[in-house]
Amino acid sequence: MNTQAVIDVSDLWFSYDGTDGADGGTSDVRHPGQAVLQGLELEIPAGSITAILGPNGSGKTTLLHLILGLLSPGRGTIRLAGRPQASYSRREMGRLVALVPQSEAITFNFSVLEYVLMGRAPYLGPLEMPRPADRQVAVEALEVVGAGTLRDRSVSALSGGEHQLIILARALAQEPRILLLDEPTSHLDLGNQERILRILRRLSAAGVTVVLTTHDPNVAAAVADTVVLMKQGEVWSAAPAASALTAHNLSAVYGVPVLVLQAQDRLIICLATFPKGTQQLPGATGSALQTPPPANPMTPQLSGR
Amino acid sequence: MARCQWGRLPTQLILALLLLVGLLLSLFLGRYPAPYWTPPSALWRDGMAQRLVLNLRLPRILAACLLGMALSAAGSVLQMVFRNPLVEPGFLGVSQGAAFGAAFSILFLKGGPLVVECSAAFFAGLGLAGSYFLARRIRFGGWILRLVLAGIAVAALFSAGVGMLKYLADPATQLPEIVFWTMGGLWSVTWKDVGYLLPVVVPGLVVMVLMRWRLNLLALPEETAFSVGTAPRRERTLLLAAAVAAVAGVVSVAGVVGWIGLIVPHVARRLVGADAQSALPVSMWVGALFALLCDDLSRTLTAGEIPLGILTSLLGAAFFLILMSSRSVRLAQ
Repeated sequence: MNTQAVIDVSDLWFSYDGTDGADGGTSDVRHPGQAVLQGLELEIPAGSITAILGPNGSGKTTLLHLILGLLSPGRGTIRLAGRPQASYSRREMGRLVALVPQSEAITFNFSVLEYVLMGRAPYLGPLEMPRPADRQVAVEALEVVGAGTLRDRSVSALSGGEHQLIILARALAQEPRILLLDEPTSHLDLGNQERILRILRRLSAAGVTVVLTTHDPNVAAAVADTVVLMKQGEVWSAAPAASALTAHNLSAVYGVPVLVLQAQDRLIICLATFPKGTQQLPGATGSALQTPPPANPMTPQLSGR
Repeated sequence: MARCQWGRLPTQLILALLLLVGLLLSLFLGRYPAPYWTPPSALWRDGMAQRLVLNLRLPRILAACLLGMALSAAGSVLQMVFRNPLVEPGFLGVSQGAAFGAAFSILFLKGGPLVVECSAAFFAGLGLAGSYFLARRIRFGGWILRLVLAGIAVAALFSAGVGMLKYLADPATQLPEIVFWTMGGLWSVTWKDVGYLLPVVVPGLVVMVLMRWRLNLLALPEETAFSVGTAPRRERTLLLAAAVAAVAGVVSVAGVVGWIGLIVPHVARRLVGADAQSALPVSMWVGALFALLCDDLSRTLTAGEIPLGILTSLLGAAFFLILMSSRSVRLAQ
């Protein structure tokens, strides 16, 4: 613990079958994979951006929900900012941690500003209504994500990208110290991806601890300080992005050959499955690390920067 | 845009004024001394008219307002808490539960109105809890579908129960009372009933009005509600308890009156938007107006009395059809 860990998870067990989860992996020998999380250990330093990568069902979203407190661990502890998570009140949690869920179906036709204002709830008493100051914060949060012009639109009339932006604005209105994002870029076009990643970098520079899950290793490569690779409810590796995102690690975690290319000082990660017509290249068995000519103008770029 | 410039307070002021005018007019609507209208001068000259207005019409008018407010506020609360714009107290077994509770106590407990009211409240709560837990156990479909299915099942169970109790009831004394419950009406309301209503309905309404902004948060998806620091289970339970108390209170006096709790919240959201901060109070004003109108019609239109539940269903359903088929209306989900 050289820097102060703002999220400190130790020996975390969890299973959805309702029992305490810790038994799922140990006592039932025939179904060793029952528990979604199996003794997970993780320390996340303050102000960093951490990307959690892993196959479907490896427990990424579950981990976020456990940090948020939506689920409670079967066994193990989660400490946030030095205190056990259970010792926080719900309101304190609302000020400390905000979640940007993967998708959100909002039943009622709120206006964008009304929706973003709900992020101010942890700063209001149970019977209080939002005050002008809260409105101000909500408007600023909308400006930060570049969605200031949407404020009077109805949430049901937004496109997928716009919706993702206002969910982020709502989370920012909570002024959290820890921001959790579940697949924040999965529905977004390249322009909006770039916008979200830039906001995350700015937040991290301002001291907010950012934890995101993603299915796209390129997103992790572009934005993360630390990459956590998860497999079957355990941390496979947690390391700085450059050393975690190797073809060897990714191929092992996903169980398919993965190609990691280096171009213009960044990593480009893709499946080592070759396009139709081309046969698989000899040697592309999952540990391929190839470096194409760096000055090739056709080299794909991650973002337009 | 229009919504913002129009403002929300004026809407409420207008509705409150309308309700006040409606209250005053209703005092003079009736079938004495001649059909449809009691001239105000009669209040001074005619002792009978005076007693009629003060002891029969006034409590009845107040009860109608409370009924409308309670049902539409509870409807708003249930719709938002269950994130389902098609929910109303009747769908989730609350009204049928209350009717069953009332019939049960009329038949077996033989207590005064207070016992009937308590029994109604208890079974209303049971109906809601039943629908909720059944919906959680159904293993297919989305939350909304499951809730509606569970609610229909529970409501049907209670309706069957009421039918059974009707069969058992003494046709001379108990049956009319039970039948009254299932059709709804305010003709038997006296000051004493209003006295029973107030301590149950008013606290329920107050809780719902005070917590109305939290209602927005609870209408969000579970993860988001949790993220913004609510304690969904606790707050939901509190709001549902308030809604059930209010509904059970009015149902115990007026019987099962349908449609108000479904239609009025939709109308309110159309008027001022989804934010419960203004939609809930507006829904209460509109509910009171609608119930008052229906009750006025039910007592003045014919020489007999048209059961209130029939009129609210008739007008409500017609209105609902217009609302749903008009092009500018978009039903969420």
